[in-house]
Amino acid sequence: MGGVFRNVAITGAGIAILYWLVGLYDTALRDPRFMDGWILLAGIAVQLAFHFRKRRPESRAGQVSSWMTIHIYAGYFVIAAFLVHTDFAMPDSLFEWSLWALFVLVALSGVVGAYLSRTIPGKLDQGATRVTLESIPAMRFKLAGEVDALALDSVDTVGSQAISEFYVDRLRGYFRRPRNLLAHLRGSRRPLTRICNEIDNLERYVGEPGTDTLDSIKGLVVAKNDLDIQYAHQGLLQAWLFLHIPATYCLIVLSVFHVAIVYAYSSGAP
Amino acid sequence: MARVQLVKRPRRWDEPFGRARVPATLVDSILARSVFRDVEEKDFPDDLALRDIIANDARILKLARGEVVFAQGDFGTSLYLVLNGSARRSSVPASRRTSKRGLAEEQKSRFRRLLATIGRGSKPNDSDAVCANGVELEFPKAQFRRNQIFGVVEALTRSARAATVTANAHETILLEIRWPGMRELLHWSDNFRDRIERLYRQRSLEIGLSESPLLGHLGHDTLRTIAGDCAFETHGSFDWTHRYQREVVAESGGAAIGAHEPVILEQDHYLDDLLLIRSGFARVTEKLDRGERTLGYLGGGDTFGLTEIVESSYGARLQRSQRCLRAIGYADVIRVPVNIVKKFVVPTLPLGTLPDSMLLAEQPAADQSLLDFSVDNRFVNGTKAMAIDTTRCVNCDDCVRACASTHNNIPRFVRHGPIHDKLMVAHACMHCADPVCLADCPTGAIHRDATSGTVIIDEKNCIGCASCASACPYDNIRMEEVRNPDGAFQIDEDGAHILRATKCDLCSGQSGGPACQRACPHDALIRVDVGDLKTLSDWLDNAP
Repeated sequence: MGGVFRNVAITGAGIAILYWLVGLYDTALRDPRFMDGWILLAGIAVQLAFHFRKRRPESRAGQVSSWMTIHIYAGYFVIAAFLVHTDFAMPDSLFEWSLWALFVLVALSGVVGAYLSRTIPGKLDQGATRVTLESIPAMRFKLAGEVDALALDSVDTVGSQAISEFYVDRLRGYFRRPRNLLAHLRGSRRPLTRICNEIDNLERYVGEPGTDTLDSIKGLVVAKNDLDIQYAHQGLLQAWLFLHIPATYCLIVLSVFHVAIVYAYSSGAP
Repeated sequence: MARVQLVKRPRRWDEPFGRARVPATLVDSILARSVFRDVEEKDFPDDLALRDIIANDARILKLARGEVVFAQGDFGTSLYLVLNGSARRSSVPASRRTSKRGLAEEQKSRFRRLLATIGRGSKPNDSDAVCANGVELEFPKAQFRRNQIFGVVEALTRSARAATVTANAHETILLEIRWPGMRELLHWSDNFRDRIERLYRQRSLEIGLSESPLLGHLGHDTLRTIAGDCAFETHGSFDWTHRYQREVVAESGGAAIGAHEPVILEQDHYLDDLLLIRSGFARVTEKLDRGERTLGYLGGGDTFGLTEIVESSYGARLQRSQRCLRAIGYADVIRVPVNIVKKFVVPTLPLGTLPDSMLLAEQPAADQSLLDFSVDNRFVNGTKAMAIDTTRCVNCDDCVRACASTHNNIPRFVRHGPIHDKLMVAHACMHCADPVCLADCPTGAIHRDATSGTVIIDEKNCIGCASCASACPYDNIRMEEVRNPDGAFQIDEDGAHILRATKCDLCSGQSGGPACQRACPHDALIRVDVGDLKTLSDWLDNAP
């Protein structure tokens, strides 16, 4: 916790110094936007440095986790610098709107991503066994095969149509692909409860011989539900990066363009 | 279709231990030495002839006076025979050791309070000799002369050298037998095995007593006297990994694993001796209802029973052990009789400042379930286990990518493994305190780095026999199909792939330490000595 307070204090001090500098420039009747613009760009460069450090694992430039901490807290500073640079005003041209929207997208996805990275891992071990995202399709396929075999067998061994019909109507689709992802992200158990209730309702038709089959099917449904939970959370952990990183590259291109335009049309010394 | 390259399958003695095979005439001369005189050539199979073993698994070292054979603390599993000249043994007395076990702090103060009631101790008088029982010991040998063997204890226990050995004559010639050769000699020759076992017990006793923080301060003569009354025991088996994998885990699923471990001392039995753990590991338990609760564990250099003995020193009756001691895999134990401890150790105990190693198992574990998990799975053996905090790990695989990028695009571990609460011990080489994977390697390709102790595989010498992979109780060694520099798979004349063992080498040879740990953006991965449960527990508790 001490580390968090220290980092927040440093970030807060950085933002305070930025405000003080802007005030100083204002007092001196100079345009602070050149100064805070370069500070903003420097902050973005620091953010980018994290990316390059990650791509070079053999580098001796500190642990990536330290860079990650810098990335997060410098990110908050950059957001403050952005607000100062834009003077808390909305953009007034298409280009500025693009730049503004990209920055907001990068910043928001970053903040949300940092939050997800802190909160989701703990949820992955609640109940189900943690599996790798890449292995989930194969595991789901295996479960689908097992439930398919159980449904087919039930026709001969139990002499029941109810199970096979339920399989065709409900289970085949359920096992075919990930289901109820939003509900899993909310932590809701309703989808599982609903399908388990439906399986329980079949007991009245199949009698005692089919109960074992239904229990086995229910076990597979629970296993599939666990896989869906893993898929939903792990998928989200990766998905936010698909927003954050491409938007970052676009932002950098537009920022460079922005600087070039500003200096092309500037009237001289700020 | 994948491209292939036809190559000759590597065999055991393609690369002799020395620059070249030991010449046949020299092998004759070596086998004529007293050490090998009763080793029968007919006891060895044709494909593992005694002469071939000496020629390929041994090498000649020629040293000038003062040259170091090995240094104290170095790792090595070779055995040495003095062919000519002599070698001198010298060691720095073991200072206070850092113990490996998971124990809490509270009861340390209990013991310290007890000590405070005892009062200040006095220095022992070295002239107070205890009668020896007539057993003749070569205690502490300062010099190894012609035809004498040294390095036995470390070779068998895969531990660090206990002393520095230097050449002591102008032209000292040694025969160094690497572990695979020594293992074959031990396996096929009963006479050689008996001799080595005698030496092992004898020298383990010497080293154990002189290295003990309790007894190490005593003079040479006193130690020799004490040694006569001490007993050296081995509990369990050096080959514990196979039984552990085949029987114990298969039968119990690891749940009641403690019941399979050999008992060194039962709870409530009279404590006749102080127990010094020389090597291996032992589990300390106490009875709880119908089972046993693990309180901690002991490693090399630790002691058991000191509290009871100290208490009995100031009471009339002999103490019973308050806890049970079991060997985890195997444990070498030195029994020091109570009367010796009372005479030489108790009076010297410093007031209230006993080293941790003497306070073993005095305290209940801070996190019982973590302790059970670590001991039951024998992770306490791991000095650099890969611990992952699953509440911080986002499955980004940056650790795997970092490993791959520093090892020719082939990662050396699997980011998956047994989980306890939020701790995952991934399938990465733990660089064990007792690396049993070394035991069966026919070429010595898998070995410990002499200075760091890191377990590494020499790719040149690996013949892909997979003995290390099957011996590793933790499933942390993989066999990979070998490719040539152009990416083509190497196959032999039968079309079978050439394999090579691969595992984490802690990024040895690269600055900065293990890439996996440095690459983790979320501080979710560390390489940690599981024996130091407090560090591990603190790390798990201090999530950012």
